[in-house]
Amino acid sequence: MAFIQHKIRLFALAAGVALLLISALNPSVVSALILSQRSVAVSTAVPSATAVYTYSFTFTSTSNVGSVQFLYCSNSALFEDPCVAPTGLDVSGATLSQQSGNVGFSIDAGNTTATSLLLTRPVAGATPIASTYQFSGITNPSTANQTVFVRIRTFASTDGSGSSTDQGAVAYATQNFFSVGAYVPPFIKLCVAVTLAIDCSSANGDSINLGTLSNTTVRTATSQFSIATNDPGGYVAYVSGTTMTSGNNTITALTSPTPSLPGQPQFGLNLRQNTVPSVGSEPDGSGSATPIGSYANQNQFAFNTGDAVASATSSTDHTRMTVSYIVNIPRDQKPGQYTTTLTYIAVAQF
Amino acid sequence: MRMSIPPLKQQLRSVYLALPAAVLAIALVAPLLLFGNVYAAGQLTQRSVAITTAVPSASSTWTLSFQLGTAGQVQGIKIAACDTALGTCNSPGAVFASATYGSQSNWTGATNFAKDATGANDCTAGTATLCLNRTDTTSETAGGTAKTIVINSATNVAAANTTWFLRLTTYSTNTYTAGSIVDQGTVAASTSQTLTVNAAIQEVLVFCIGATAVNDATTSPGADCSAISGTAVDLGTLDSSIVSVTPVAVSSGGSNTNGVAMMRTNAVNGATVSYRAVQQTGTNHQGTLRVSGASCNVGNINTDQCIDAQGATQATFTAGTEKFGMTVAGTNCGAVTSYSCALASGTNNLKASTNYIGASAITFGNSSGFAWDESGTAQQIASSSTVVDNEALILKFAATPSITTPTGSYTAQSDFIAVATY
Repeated sequence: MAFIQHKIRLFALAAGVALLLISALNPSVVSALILSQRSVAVSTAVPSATAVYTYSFTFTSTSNVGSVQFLYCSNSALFEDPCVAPTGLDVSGATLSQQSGNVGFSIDAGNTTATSLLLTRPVAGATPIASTYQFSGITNPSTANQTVFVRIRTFASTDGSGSSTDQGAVAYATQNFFSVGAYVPPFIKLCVAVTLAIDCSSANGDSINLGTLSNTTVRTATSQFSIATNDPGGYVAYVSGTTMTSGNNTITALTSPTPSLPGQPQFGLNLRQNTVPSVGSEPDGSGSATPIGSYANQNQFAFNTGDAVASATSSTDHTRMTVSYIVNIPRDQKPGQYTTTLTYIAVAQF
Repeated sequence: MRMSIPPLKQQLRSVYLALPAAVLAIALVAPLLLFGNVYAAGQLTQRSVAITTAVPSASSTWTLSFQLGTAGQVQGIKIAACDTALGTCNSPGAVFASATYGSQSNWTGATNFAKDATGANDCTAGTATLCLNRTDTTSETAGGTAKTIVINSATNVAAANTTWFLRLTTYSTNTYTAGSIVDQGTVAASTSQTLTVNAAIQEVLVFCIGATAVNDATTSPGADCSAISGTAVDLGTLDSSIVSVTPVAVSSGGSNTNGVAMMRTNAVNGATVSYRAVQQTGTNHQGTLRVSGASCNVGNINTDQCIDAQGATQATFTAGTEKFGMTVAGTNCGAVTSYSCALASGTNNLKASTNYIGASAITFGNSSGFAWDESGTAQQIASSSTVVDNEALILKFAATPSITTPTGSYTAQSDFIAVATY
């Protein structure tokens, strides 16, 4: 009998092929929905200032909401991270000045701290609409140039306990004041010429020729000056110089206001429009200066070196003064070339 | 002649000895056998199963690949799902409940296999056993290119991190008779739990205000807010014959700087930049360029120590007509790296708002004039509808005194506020 020989084939166990599936970036499994269109606007970003904070966000879920928490953190907006309180921030004295959308809230003072504010209301279903909450009397953090995160969570409970229904974070930044500086210097501007523009933008001539003097007819001439200043006290304008002189011969200056009298020795001036003789113009321009003293009288002329001839009592834009000159001589006036040089000076006290 | 014939007793002894050995051999071999029954079968080699997902209970496509160990016709295939590779085959679940025949490749015989919903003989179709058959007597080659069978809509086992086995049997007949078994082999597959990778990106808002010597839309004022500094700009010595506009040269008493406001935010719903004129001490016009503490007059008076603010509506200034204001000369993209940004192309995200557009939406300058709201109410000067990457607003300040504006050091203070909507 032949042995029955069995051919036994061994079957190896093949290694299974297992595929490990890695799901990249699967959405985090969170129990709360995300508040949308969320922002915070502060009335001032200045550190330590008292500010109004206006929160805006849209609820997502429609489940019951009894409280809303605003938790302020300086380090992170992530709810799973520890929260570091911003230095100097104080919301404990805040008041709810406005609310809209999901309303009916009041501040839960018992569950509000310096850096966590809780709104509470009787439990009610949330409406997925835009809502705003404005808080007054919040003290900003004391650190400048800092980003502050506010973690917002809604709860079914009335005291912020339990799991949140909706959540989301917002951020704002503190800033110091930004300043713009400028300096306005003391200012006074005087221009003198035979004729000139009111604002001194143009000036023409620096000498006057009175021609041949006569003992029967007065000789006249004009010049102009214009002054402006930002001195709140205004200015005073003076004239200095000599009377008409030729060597040792002079024409007598009028030391007091006097009418023009042909045949008499007279040298004088005023800042008026005259009719006897017809010479000069009234002051013009937007300024407030006026002729003063012996030089303010129509048809009256005078000259004393160093006299004040015009003034303004406050800061003033340009006033253009027209100076009227008269010269009369007697029959025995010595012949010669008679001249004078006059200097006008404006003085302001700042 | 004598023939030596082992005595019957000896033959029987041999048998007796052989039998235990055979039994022993079988007993020794049995644990090594993959299946419960011993057939004279060849071995499928280079065998594997690839599944399209390892998610428990997921519908999956299984691709079986193997080389035949025995050349010959193959008209039947049994795929038995078991919870073990050896011994009794217990169902790991209704893995074939929805399965359908998909496709095949590298078979010599052109006829496709088809799902046999009933089976026969050695293959009883069920939710854990798939019977495939065809009528094709073409002799298949052993070895060579691996043959594949694709099964669609198979169902992974329900438990995570669990291995299950597919015991494969090929038959030369399409009735799966035990005697027609050609080759056998087992493959394994496993579910796994999904590996979840979490990442979170928090809300970002970085905003700063400072002074800069930059006077265009392209030269970077600094890579980011850490490079921005300064709390003031100086318009220098004002003169009623000119309009002073930053940057004012140091030779004119200025600081040679503009203001700069830089923002970076990932707020997808955009952001705004506003300023609020700080109300200084004194009376009237507390939010304009003024001498601190001065008593100023109501209305536009040129003889008090408050330079008239331009107001909310932008306008150009005339030298000697007392005015103070600000404008956004342009959005500077010099520090932007994450997207294309150029004022000249209008591709900046942060754009100046009405009454604060210095020259035009795409031109750097201040030809359109200046504005300044002295009331202390926040005024928007720029906004974006999307994220912003270190775009910087170049702020120009301007002032001109009247000829009667009193002497003094004048200051205006502002409070810049950024609001981001996430």
